[in-house]
Amino acid sequence: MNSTKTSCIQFRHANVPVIALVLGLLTICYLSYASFSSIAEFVRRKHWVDHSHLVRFELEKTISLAKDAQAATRGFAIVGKPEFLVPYQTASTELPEIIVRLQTMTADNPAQARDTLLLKDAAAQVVATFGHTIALRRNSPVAADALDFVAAGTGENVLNQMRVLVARMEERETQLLAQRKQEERVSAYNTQRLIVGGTLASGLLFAGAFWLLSREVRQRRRADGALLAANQKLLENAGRLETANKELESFTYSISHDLRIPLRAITGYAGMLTEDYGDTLDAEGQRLLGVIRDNSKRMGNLIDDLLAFSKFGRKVLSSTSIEMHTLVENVVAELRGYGQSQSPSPSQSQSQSQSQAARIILDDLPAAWGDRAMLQQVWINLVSNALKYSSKTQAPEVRISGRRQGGEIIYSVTDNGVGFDMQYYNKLFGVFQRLHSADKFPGTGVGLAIVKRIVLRHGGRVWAEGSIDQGATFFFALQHKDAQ
Amino acid sequence: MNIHQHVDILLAEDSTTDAEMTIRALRKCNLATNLLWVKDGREALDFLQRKGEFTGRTNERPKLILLDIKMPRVDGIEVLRVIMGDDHLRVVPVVMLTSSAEERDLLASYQLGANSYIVKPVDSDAFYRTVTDVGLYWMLENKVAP
Repeated sequence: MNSTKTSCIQFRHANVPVIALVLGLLTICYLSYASFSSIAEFVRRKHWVDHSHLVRFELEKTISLAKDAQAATRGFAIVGKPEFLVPYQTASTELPEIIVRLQTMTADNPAQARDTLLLKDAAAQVVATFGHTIALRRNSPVAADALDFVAAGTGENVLNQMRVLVARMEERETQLLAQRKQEERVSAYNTQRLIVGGTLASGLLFAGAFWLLSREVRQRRRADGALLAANQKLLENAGRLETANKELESFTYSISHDLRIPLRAITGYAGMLTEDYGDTLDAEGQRLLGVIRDNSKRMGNLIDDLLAFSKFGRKVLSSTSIEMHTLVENVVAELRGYGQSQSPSPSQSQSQSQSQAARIILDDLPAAWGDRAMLQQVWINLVSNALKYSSKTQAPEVRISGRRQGGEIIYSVTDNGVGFDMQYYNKLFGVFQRLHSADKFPGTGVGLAIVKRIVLRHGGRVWAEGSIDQGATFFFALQHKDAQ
Repeated sequence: MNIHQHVDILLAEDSTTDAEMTIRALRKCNLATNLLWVKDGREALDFLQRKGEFTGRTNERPKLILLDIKMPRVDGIEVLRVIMGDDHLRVVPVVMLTSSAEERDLLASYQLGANSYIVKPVDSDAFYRTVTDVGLYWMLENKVAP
């Protein structure tokens, strides 16, 4: 819960600088685009200025051509020499050409296009009027008619009409030019503002992103530091726990060790008493001595088992591959040998002496990986238990099996003996816990505790099933080598 | 003790009961006649190095040394270290006879050159048997250095 919340906050925090960075990059992209289009616009406006100049140049040229034609016409009317007519001829060919060019250039401006059409007519009238004057002079030997026509002012009038049109068009071009220059200034100002503002904005965004990122780095560093400290503490605790565990083990060991010495003296001196003064003791004295010796032996067994239990907790595992079938065969042979031998170890003598030979069925057992000596102890304890607790049954039978299942190898030892009450299952694997009295089945109650300890140390698990007088099955599972 | 006493077996043992049982077991096979029992490592070293109350003793070596490990003042491992560092004493068989089955003690004993390491059995019958076996083997079957 808590961690989800934290990660959520971290996720949101992590996003803010990213967003700022992306925005900054977008602003820079937009700035590039704006600068580019502003330059393109400037080039376009420059073109427009040139265009306006060109229009004005062409307009002035029409007036100048028309004036030249007027002067030529007048000269011809007076002198009658055809070489005077060259400027008129130039004007009459060039004026329509210029008008066509102007029409193209002013096509985008309706007012100018309209005036160009009027100019075309005016120019045509100018050429026609002067042409009329020239014709009058040609058809008459004297200049009188032609001069009269000139004096009538028709030529001057149409020329003035042209002048007015040209002036109007020039004025309009000038205005357009001024308007475009104004627009350009506004656009340049806007572009400037855009570039300055955009640069500031992207700078702020980048600075913000940088600040957020560096703050996050600082926070993360602090968090890492805290994690490191927590880890350190955990390690220290684990170390303390290990030390405490070792101390406990060595305490157990020295307690059991120091208990042996007085105990040996008790049995030893009871023995001396029997040897040296046995003859002088009556039956009751002998019995009392026997009780002392039996109980000392029992305590010795308890201490031995406690020592063994402590040893299996301390011993370092030395794991190898184990042919479990062979190992169990040897264990079974050894346990049977004890049963038949005349001088069995004291703790087993009682059970075996009363027992019939059990039928032991050994199924194929899968190989395993582990500490050979320790696992051998597990088998000794489980099989000897099965033999012990089935020894009072009519036809004792012990079955040993094994199988692979999932990532585990599961071994089991089943007997048809006295079994146990599942109600006391939680006591089954405890140290010095017994479910049967020592009178019926001798033992100290450490065997299964050792089994559990060894199997747990191998990373495995132990469990059992049983019911009263219906036998019992003890299981232990080891992990596959490759699963470890 | 009489410094002129001839000593075949030196027994260093702080537990009176263990010592008595050991001596009893050895006496049963007539090996305890020339046995000297000392109660800690200091006394054992005094005897071996002819110091303290053993000043003036002959330079004669025992035929067998039985060493307990956990003893007051100077422990068995330290006594063993001194014996093995002494050219004259090094040839005497030393049998560690102890209640300790700790790997640390086992390793230290063999590394220093102990000839044998016996953990005293808890069971007194087994204890008698073991001590008898040790005595018979080292005193009768084993040949000591000249």
